[in-house]
Amino acid sequence: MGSNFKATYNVDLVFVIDATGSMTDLLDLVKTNALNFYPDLMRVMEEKKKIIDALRIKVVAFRDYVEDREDAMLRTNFFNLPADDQIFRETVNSIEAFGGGDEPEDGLEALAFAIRSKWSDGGVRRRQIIVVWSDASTHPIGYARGAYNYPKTMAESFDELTKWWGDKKDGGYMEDNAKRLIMYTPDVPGWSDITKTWNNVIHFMSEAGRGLEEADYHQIINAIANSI
Amino acid sequence: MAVINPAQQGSSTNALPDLVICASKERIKGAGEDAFALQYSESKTNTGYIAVFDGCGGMGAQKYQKAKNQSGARLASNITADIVDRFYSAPNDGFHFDGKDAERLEQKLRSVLQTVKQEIGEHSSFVIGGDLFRELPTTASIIVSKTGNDGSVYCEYLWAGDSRGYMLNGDGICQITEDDLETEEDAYSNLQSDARLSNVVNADKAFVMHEKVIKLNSPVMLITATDGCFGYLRTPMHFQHLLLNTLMRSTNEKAWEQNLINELDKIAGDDCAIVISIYGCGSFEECKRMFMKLYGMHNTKYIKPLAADESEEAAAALWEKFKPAYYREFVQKRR
Repeated sequence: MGSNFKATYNVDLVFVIDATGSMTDLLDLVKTNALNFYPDLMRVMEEKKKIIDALRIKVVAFRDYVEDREDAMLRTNFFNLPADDQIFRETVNSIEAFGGGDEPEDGLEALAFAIRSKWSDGGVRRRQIIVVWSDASTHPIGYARGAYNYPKTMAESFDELTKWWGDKKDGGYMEDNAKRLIMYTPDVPGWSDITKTWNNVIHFMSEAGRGLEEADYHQIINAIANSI
Repeated sequence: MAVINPAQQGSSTNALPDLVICASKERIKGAGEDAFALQYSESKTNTGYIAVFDGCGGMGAQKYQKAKNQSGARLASNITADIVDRFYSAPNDGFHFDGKDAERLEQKLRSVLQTVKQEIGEHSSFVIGGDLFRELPTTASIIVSKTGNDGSVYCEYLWAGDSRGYMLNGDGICQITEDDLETEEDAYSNLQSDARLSNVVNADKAFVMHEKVIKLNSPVMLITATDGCFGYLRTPMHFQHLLLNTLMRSTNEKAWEQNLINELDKIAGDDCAIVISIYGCGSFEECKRMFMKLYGMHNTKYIKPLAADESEEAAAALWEKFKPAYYREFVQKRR
């Protein structure tokens, strides 16, 4: 047919995981899902004959700056999968549920770190996908600004965070056509504000404290695979 | 739905198309999200239609237990195909070329999809929200056509989303529909950008069925296709090449359909559906003869140079050359 062209995808995934004490019952399942994500996604993509040229995954695990201080935020660089599979697994398995104090938590700061990831600029087509797992509402961004280790380069307000979610040409950090935010969280302040005002969002509104069931997980995998 | 050759079904005039071709491919057997429909009938004053539908998998990932656990995307494309077919057939409905067809069809789609949603909806373990989620979302691209006394073909292009309606004559392919995208893209830039859809048929949020009316001279091919057919090619020039190359390699309509399926299977990273109706060519052999010159010229002017130089710059430069003809039949949307 006169062309060897293949429309390939470079996919970057950031998992934003609530690692506070209230997640104790859920975290193992979230971790299992996170670890299965790569093979499951690749299987679905293979069935669809879609070619992912490069897939990278990064993890941001969050708690509460005021309550948990130096344990408030775990951030990794991107893991290239499958090459970095072992270290990716070790990292995910090392996440434990503790701290956080009372609800809410600092989920928006974790999302801010995810948005400011060093996204790939290669490939014919790109996807920048952030997946959030949490069972709790979030503090307003900047709530913990007084904490000694609160990041200095954080968004000043929800409006600024919204701008960060915008396209690079509009002063944001994302590519409008590439970005997707998939949240598995309750419909509570913070997350629900995002659902109401941000674009490219799918919000699976879980009941607070309820686990992610097998069927839910497959639905999320399908939502991601179909958005690629 | 079966392949039909309307000209062999009792038409003594050339009021119906001479050939109708359709090809579709499911990536996962039994889970395909594309659908097509077509019908031509003398009893409808020789007005007929071809249509394709692409259920939006990302937006419509929700599974409905009451509907055999099928995804909203798969249900939407198949149900919408059925609604359009019934709309065409119903004595009091149908396409009338009166400037109101898109509006009437839009209302019908909205009302039936909302009813289906109520019937199959259930209390889920979670609610799904966000602007990327829709209930029963699908694209639609429909070409309604009828011939005039002078042999010209009157066409209504109706669409929502990025499934496309084209015409192809001796001067080459021309896209008539305008993709509903969040960002401004042309047919070439969107192959890289893969922009989000801004408007799709669905059961819970507002949508628009666009309409364009155009009079074309025969011989002409009317083509409607889901993005699986053109969205994985290097350039829009390759879509014209795909159509004509498979035609030239075929000895009859069935072989053309099979060749289309085989080629789409190699290139597409998605389900795909395409329906083509051809007016004014008489027979399959005559159709090949009519497009042979265009095929050769297009090959020389675009496809061979693109094969020799695989750089993005070469593709972009040749697209700029091809683009005016590709958009030559510009008509304003009625809605």
